[in-house]
Amino acid sequence: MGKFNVMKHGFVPEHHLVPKEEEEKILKKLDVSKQDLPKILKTDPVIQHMEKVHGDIEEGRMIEVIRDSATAGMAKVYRLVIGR
Amino acid sequence: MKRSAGVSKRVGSIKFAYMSPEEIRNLSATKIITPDTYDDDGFPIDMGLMDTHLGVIEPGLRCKTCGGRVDQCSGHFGRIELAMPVIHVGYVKEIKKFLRSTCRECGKLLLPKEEKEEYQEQMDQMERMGADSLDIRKLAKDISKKARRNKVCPHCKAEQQKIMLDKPTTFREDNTKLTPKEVRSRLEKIPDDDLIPLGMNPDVVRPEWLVLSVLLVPPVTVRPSITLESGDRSEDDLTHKLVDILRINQRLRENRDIGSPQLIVEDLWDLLQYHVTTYFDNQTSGIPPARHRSGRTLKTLIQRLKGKEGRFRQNLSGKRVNFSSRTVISPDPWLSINEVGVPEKAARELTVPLNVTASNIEYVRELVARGPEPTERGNYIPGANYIIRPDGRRIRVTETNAETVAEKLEPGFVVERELKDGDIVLFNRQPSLHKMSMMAHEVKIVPGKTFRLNLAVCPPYNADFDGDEMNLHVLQSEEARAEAKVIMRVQENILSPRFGGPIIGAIQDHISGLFFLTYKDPIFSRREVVSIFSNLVTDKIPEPAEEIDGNKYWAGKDIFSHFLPDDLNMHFRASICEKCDECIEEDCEHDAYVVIRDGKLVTGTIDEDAVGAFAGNIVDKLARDYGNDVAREFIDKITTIALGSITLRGFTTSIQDEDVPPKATKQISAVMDKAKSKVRKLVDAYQDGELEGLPGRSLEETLEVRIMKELGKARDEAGNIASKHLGLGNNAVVMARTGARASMLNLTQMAGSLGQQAVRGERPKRGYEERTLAHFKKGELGAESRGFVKSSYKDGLNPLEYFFHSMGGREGLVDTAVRTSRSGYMQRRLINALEDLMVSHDETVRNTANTIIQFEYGEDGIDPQRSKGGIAVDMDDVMTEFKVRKGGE
Repeated sequence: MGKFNVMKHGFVPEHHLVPKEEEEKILKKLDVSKQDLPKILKTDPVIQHMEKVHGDIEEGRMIEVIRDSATAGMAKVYRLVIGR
Repeated sequence: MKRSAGVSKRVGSIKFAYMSPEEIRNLSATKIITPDTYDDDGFPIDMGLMDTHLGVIEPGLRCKTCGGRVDQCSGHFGRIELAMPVIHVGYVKEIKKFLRSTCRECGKLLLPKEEKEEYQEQMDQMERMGADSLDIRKLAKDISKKARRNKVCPHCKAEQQKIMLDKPTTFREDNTKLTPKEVRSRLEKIPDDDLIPLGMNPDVVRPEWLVLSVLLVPPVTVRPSITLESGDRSEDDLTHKLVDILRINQRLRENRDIGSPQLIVEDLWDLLQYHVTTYFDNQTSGIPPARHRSGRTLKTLIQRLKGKEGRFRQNLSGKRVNFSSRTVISPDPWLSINEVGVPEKAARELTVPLNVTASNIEYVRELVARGPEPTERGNYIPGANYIIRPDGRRIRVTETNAETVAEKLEPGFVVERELKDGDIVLFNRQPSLHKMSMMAHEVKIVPGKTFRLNLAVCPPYNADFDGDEMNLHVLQSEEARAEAKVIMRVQENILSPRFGGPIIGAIQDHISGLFFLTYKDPIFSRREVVSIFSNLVTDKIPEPAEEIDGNKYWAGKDIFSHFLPDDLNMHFRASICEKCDECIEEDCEHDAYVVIRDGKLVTGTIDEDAVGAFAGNIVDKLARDYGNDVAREFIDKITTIALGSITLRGFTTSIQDEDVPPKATKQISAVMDKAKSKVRKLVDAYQDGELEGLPGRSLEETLEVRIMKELGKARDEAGNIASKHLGLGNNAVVMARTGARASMLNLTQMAGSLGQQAVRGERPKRGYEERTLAHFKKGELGAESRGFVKSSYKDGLNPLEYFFHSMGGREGLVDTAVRTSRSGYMQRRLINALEDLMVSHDETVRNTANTIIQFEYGEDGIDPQRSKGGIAVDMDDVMTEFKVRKGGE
């Protein structure tokens, strides 16, 4: 059996790593400090998979998630990578 | 946005620890030794449970500790020195953990030194980093589990034995009982350093404190005794329990001191343990609850706090309030939906505070001078019940002192004025499931003893008048009244955020009435129109539509149009629409296509889909485009007109409305017989193995599905035959088709056939062995043997049919009972989880910690109350408006 790819699962929405330079801009737009963002674990399978593409994603980086929404069709949300 | 602005102090942290015996002794005002409470003169006995050192509950006495009187001294703790230690039920789990993970000989943690130090370091680090207390507890548990695995102490090489806990409080080691004393001495042996890895901070707590040697006695104010009318004293449950503890404690001490046999001492010790255990928690599993003499179980410490009737949910999360009242509700169609009828009796008790100022002092003086129950020509007028002086003293206004009190009034006083017409109050019906369960109304004083409300506001409250009661709260501040008026008034809640449509609108007879007013545009004579309008004193009768033989006649649709704004343009299908294959819209022969052009009802019938609660298109459009004032006025007026219309015509229904010609009855019977024989054929085919399975289903399932389909078809067909003979000339049908009440299915069940009864979504199959009832053969699968009811309600059911019908009916009853309690609990959990969320100014949803829950409210930023059925823009409506505007130019 080949290795299972979580990113291809129907329930897993699109994830993108936010470039460091853009973080400031997004946080300003949302008017929040980084710590106020919802969190995602560094050990999350999605992050683990993304690390294969982007290299190590250290704690404190931001992830952009684009997912389906029942009300808006598509919703953009952000996550903060944290350790255990 | 800085949420912390205005917060002067923040709680940094809260620490919980156990109380040491030393602390208990220091805290206690006195030692308690005698189980007696009062002496013969009724005075508290020294060193008894009601010792005045513990505070006082009787007026006149002074507390011996602080010298305070009843209202000044909040009470002090006392203590009972236990003759022998007992285990605290609340901490048995912890005690078990400590016993199992430390050595029975040397008391050290059952881990090698290096390992222990490593864990110690880990714990320290977690503490320093401010880790979650749950995580710390989990680590401690893991460490304890690991230590437990060592059967030999790594320090003194002593062999360890298995420690068992006999619920609730007995520890056993290798089948010999460990007395609390032994447990305590083992816990004492554990060195301070070994406590850290087990999650205990030795600076604050020692494990031996978990075994009680001193018992803290709560102040008398916590367990007040009450004096009955007969003069007898009745003690609080806690006092009763403490008396038990003291008695046994004393006997135990005596027996121990005179050197009684071990057996007797141990029995008493166990009894003391039992009493102390039930003192904390009288619902401990494994021991019988302690009972009052009358047989009632005692309410001890845990019972005071826990559950729905416990301190938290009953007294802290929710409280009883003043300025509120509750009574039965009844309907009043002449009130506006914004109003509530308040009976005089209630209005006399409920008050609004008035601040006396230089500019209103004359008015207030007169108000107070009237006394508490003034009338004017026999009618209610508001008076005043209390005046409050600037120093806070309240003076009751009575018939006799009214004049003199009024003279004393000065700016700065507050007068509590009785309710009057136009006051803003909150009106509420439980269960409060959505925000429309509590709305603001304007007071209208009415005679009688019930609250009155307009029928159109029944749907949001889910109220009816079969004995429902509702609560009313009088707002006490200007801010509250303003806020309630702007956001909670009934007219602001015509559109529901639940589904983006009107929840307030015409119901039942309103809908039938408007149907008769508008269906196929009847004409009315002057007398009739006056009768219809007679309850609407504010409106002039519109211009007549035609004149025949010198008499003027009015068209029903014109009467309705009279209440529409002049520039209203709409078109939609009415509820009575027959859903023809091709809709010819305006030319509809059933008058079911509603067209409103420039505020005139051109074609179509007004029914539920036009003005009904939950469905009314016109109400929806008015509230959305013309504002709530217009919508409220519209609802008020058309419901009144509807009642005028239905009163004029007269309206009734009876079982005769379901009469169908004998020919139809025969047809229905034939359909039933045909269906039954089809079922028989299916069963035969199944038994002969000729039935072909549907994909993904077993043969049995296939048979069931096909039988259900066949019988369902039969019922529908019977219904169709019946309804063919029941037209809109029939009142029952009018109600069903217009959406006023009941449904066509209800009518076919009365006129045609009840159809298949279901239990858990299937045909009934259980009961006797391989059959539902003893009247059938084993394995019989036919229609009758599996709950098909051929008869109608009007025909009456045969005994077997009746039985099956009862099975289905009972299931429905049980389901609703179970569902309400379960969904209630689910809702409670949901609300507790979501209560601190709010939409901030930047439209993000955040909790009180200011972290983001949603980046945009609902992900689309749409206010569902302003949406059309959850969708932000109603394109159809926009197009209609566009076409109208373009055509007009």
